[in-house]
Amino acid sequence: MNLGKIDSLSLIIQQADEHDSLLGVMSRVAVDTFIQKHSLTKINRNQLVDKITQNIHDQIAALIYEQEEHIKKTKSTLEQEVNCSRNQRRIEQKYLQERIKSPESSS
Amino acid sequence: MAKDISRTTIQPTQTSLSEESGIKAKAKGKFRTKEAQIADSQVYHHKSAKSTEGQRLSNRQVTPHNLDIIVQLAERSEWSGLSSAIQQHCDSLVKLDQTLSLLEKHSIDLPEDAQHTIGHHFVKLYVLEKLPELTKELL
Repeated sequence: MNLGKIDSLSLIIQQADEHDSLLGVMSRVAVDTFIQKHSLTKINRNQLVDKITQNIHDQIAALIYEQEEHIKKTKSTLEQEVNCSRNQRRIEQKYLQERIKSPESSS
Repeated sequence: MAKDISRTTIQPTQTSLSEESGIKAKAKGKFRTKEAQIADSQVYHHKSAKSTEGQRLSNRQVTPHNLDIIVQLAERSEWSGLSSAIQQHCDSLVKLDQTLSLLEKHSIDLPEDAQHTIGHHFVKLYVLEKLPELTKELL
């Protein structure tokens, strides 16, 4: 694993809550296709979209964390940068969790 | 594909779900009694059947017999058992898709609770299948 690969993983989850982000588009298309195909009209669409986004964000964030640990051991100069990225991801994760609990998601 | 697995003929050699749960249901090919069919579907109402751990999912497969039970549960409006059966046997998006298509063919109108459970099962399967695709070549 090199820094380039960590950056690529970070790009996947970048601005995950945004309507036109990679994860946002992917989750919405998947849920909408599923609901329409099987006429599951009573399903809470927003909640499922948010759950997919949050779940994938959490798992990729965990993968990045693991890889950053290796990087930190080999390049101690990057420690501050790694810490900043982790803080940013923590904020995003918390925001995504709150989105699921929000009335907009549950409606 | 959905057409293939929607065949509901029960193979005489197939292991009955009732055997798995210890319920004695006499399975005799296509001449199974209604009681035996109901006994089979009862396993999905058991508390232990509501579990959806990955291990359990990986051990299960959708067979024509399972689909037959799923349709019977839906026709009897046993929604809790139906949700449980879907969670246990649909261990991939393709299988979930095929099972739901079969229910549509039987004009089954799923209630809100069942749709809710199916939606969450879809999320679980979608993440399981998409995550490796997304991270492929990055690990």
